[in-house]
Amino acid sequence: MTTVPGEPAWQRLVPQFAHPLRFSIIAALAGADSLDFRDLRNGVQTSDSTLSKQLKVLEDAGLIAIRKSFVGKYPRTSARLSDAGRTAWRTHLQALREIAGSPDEG
Amino acid sequence: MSDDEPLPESFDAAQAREWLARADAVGAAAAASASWPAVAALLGLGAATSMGTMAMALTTGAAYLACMLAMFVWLGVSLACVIGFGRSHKLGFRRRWGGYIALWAAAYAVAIAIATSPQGRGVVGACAAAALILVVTVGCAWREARA
Repeated sequence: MTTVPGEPAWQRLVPQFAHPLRFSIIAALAGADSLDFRDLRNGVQTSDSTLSKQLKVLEDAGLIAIRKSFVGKYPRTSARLSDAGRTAWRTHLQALREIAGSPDEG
Repeated sequence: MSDDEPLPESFDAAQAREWLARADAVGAAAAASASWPAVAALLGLGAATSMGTMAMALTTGAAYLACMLAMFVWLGVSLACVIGFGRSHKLGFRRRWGGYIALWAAAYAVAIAIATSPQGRGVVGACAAAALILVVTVGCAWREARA
């Protein structure tokens, strides 16, 4: 994601992160190598189906990677930020900080 | 929760601060939930091997074997804690975990050398050897909890 000099901060916000739940999912994943589905669900306090749906949106956008595996007979799903997702998150946070720091902007 | 996304233009400074605060809170909670199995395992590892080291220095015969058996049971419990509950990992955990295990192994090797030396086969030497493992593993657990 490139930054254009003079571009207003709000134009650098990532549309996928404007959704409150997706924002929380990405915020949780940003501090982790990977998070288990259950830990992520508990962290963002939502249902399995809602989380699955939003993870799919983020995965389709290339912002996260989903890994499905088995531990014994039990399926285990984990998610992590992709490199593109981590870059987009940093850009998004920086834009938010700029907006927060300059009330006239945005 | 709606799928509607607010237009980015709608963000003002107060909202931005609110979202940044939410990011910090969610990120901190996720990191905390991901670190406890590793912290518990490191403390279990340290407790088991430091007590085992004291047993190595201070006991013999059947008492020594009983202590070693207990130590291996606790090592198994610590390992199971990481495998069973360590589903999520903080950023950089795998690299740090290798360092923790290397530090613990080095401390344990030094402690065994102390405990099996003639000077170590006494209360003071045994306590010193156990304290070395305690300091290293508690330090690693503290580091992981704060990472």
